[in-house]
Amino acid sequence: MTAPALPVFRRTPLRRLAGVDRLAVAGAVLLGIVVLAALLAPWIAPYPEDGGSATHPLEALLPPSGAHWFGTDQVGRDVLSRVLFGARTSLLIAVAVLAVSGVAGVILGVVAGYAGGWARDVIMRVTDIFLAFPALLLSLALAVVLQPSVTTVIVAIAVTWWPWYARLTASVASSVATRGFVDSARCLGVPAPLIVLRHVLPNSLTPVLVQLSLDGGGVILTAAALSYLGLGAHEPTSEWGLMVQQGQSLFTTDWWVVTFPGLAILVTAFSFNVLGEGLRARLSR
Amino acid sequence: MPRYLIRRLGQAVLVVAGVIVLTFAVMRLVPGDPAVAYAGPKATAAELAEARRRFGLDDPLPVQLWNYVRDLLGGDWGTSLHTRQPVRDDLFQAFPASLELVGAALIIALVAGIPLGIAAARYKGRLPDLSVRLSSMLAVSVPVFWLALALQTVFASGLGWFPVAGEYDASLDRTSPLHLYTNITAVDALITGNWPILTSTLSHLVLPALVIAAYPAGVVAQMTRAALIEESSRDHARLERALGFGETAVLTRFALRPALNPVLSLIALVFAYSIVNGFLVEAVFNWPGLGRYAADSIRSLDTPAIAGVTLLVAVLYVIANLAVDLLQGVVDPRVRAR
Amino acid sequence: MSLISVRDLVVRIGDRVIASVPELDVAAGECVAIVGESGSGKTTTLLSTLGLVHGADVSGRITVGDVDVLTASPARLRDIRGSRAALVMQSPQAALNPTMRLGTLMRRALARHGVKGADARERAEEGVRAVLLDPEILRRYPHQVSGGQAQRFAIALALALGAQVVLADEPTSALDVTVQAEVVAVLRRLRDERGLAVLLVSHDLALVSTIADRVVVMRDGAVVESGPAAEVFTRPRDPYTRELIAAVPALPDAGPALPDAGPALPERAEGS
Repeated sequence: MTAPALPVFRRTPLRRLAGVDRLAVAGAVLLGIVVLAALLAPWIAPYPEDGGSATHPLEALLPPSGAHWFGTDQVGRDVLSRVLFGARTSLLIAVAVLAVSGVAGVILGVVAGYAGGWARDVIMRVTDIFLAFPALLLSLALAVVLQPSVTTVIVAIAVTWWPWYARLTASVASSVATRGFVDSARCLGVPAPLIVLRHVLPNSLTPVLVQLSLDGGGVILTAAALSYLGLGAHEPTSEWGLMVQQGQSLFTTDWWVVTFPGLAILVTAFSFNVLGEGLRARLSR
Repeated sequence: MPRYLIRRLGQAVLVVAGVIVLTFAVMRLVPGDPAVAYAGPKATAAELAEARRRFGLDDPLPVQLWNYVRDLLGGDWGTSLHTRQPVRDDLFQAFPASLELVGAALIIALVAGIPLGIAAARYKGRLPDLSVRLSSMLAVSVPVFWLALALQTVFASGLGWFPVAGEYDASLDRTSPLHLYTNITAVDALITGNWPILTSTLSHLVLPALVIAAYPAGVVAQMTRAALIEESSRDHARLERALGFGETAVLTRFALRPALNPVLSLIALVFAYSIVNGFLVEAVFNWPGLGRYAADSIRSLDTPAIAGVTLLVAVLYVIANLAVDLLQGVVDPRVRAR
Repeated sequence: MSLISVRDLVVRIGDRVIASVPELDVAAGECVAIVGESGSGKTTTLLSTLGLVHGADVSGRITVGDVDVLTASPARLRDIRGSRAALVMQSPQAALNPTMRLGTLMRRALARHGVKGADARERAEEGVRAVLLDPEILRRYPHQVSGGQAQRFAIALALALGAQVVLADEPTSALDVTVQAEVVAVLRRLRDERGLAVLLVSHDLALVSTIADRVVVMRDGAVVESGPAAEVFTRPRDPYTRELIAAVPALPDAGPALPDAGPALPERAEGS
């Protein structure tokens, strides 16, 4: 068609790209800070032993001060140190869930999208069923029947998360599979697994990676919610959701015990979302 | 009935069947013995055997699944271990309160999210757009339980603007008792003209509904913005501009309707998500809905009750999806023609 | 006196000139065709007459009636869009809002230009009849009408709004040959009977030869030749024009007959 060569937006493409990149960069920087905090927690935390089971009953519930920037909790542990160590737990969960569900989803999705036929039907119907459960609900049910632990949280969330990637990959893979270069590869007698590996997989990967970064926030929130309900990490592990739960009755009197771990969840989920949003906007242009 | 509707219905039935099987499978994963949970730790061997027989735990798994499905369809959703009531009755009592809360939240989300999305699309790339995008990303990133605690602490316990917890002032049950029709308090109070309970319910609703609304409002604003931008770059928008309509008119009077389509289909997903998010909020505000019931069930490892809640929400999601598909026919005439 | 007059028009994106037209006039009862391949700047020229080119620098002088398009206020510009000069777009169904009955679009457009109530109904039906459509079509949605009907409806919109010029951007390239003939016949009749002016953009020389009074040939944003249609087709001065004409075998006898399915200009692939 003879679409006019003119873009209808006022900003030039170059400035748009820069604008979008700024968002992605802001998200990446924010997330980078969280990752650094997690990696360096044992060295940068003012009281590294407070990330674990240490207790200082005499210093309980001190308000924020020079010695304890974020105050101390019910048993006298430095809240800042626990927030820093909590980043390790949250990011560990996020990385594990995204890796497990991403790999499982991509494999199933590629099979469904490339193979088509009954394989596609079966896989897609199963994803339909899993998608009918809101992630938190199914993880909740799973976390109840398994023993509460960080591993339980990872398993429970991963079980509910893979169908999204299967869906996404299947749709990308099936559109890639019908493109010319795949056809010609097939005609040349290239075996199916090789075609998938060389052509279908790389093309499916970009949207999945964007989705993974968008979902990081959701995983962080779901994990925190499970821990808040007592179905995830337990003492003395530093975990933000757990910290909120343990401090919730103190909110009116000792606000810092609950405020800082909650903010940590917010900032981490936000950084994932900003990064993902920036990447998505760039990809979809 | 159009063919696509029949196909959608068939799909929905298939998904519900799968949901039942999956719920059954998850419940069979229980490490403890449900018979022990029911009969109590000090039960004798005979009592245990009796409990096992009662729950059909001696049957092979396929038989158990079959019995489970048969009971579900027959309206027997099992007996809750902690309330000792039929799960179905418990759910019937708790669900309307959750619906009330999530319904209020979704109304807030649409009322706030759609205009914000329009404003962002209208001033794309400028300050209003950036602020709407950032705040909607914040809204979807906030942990609900924490936001609930924060709002409760500041606006209820602190400033005293709103009640701290509950659905309405219980003392009103004596002075102006409520006749139940729908079991949704606000609706019943409205149709029976029970103003004291209505105002009390509404003031109790504000904080928890706002907390639950955060996520859907953010999603709706983002989706409205994206769909409007897409729609206003289409050919028909150019024709509308060439007919003398300005940017705002093109967005609100022409692009909005086709753009609402993806927003609507999102609402079904967001509805189920909000019900579950509501679990956490209900726990904080002691709202007598599914969430509180679920929380109590989790605490007492009450598997039939948890299975019931899980099943109900999943089926609701399937129904909501179906309803949205029907609604899309109303919004978009092309769908109707299919 | 011309209804549309363009002088020294230059449209730039950054340093790149995408359309440069020294002189272009469209008078009542006249059909002027801009021909050229994709990317030649013909659509840009067309859109710039209504000030609908965004994201580019437009300089020169464009007048529609007594309105100077490049200096007019946005509100004044919106007032003349549709009511003085109306656009007919390439892809007939995509150009109509899928969620809106044709009659609703017509009513809103009329209301936008101050025509309401019984008056609006009358103008709508009269416009639709003038393009040989049944007024019943106003009750339909875009997906319920054919491509040819949709294009004729777009012309009806222009008539109902009182536009004296139709700006037609490849109005037939998405249609079947017989339907193309219908639309062209309607345009020709309105030109002859009502003195409607048509500014036509097309890459289809066969089509252009059946309706255009004057022809402007564009290539890479620049006008390479312009003049009366008969002259340009029979004695092309520019080698590019000759090349274009040579690519259409049936042209010399095309005359007033219906355009046949003769080969159109090669479309340059364009990513958009």
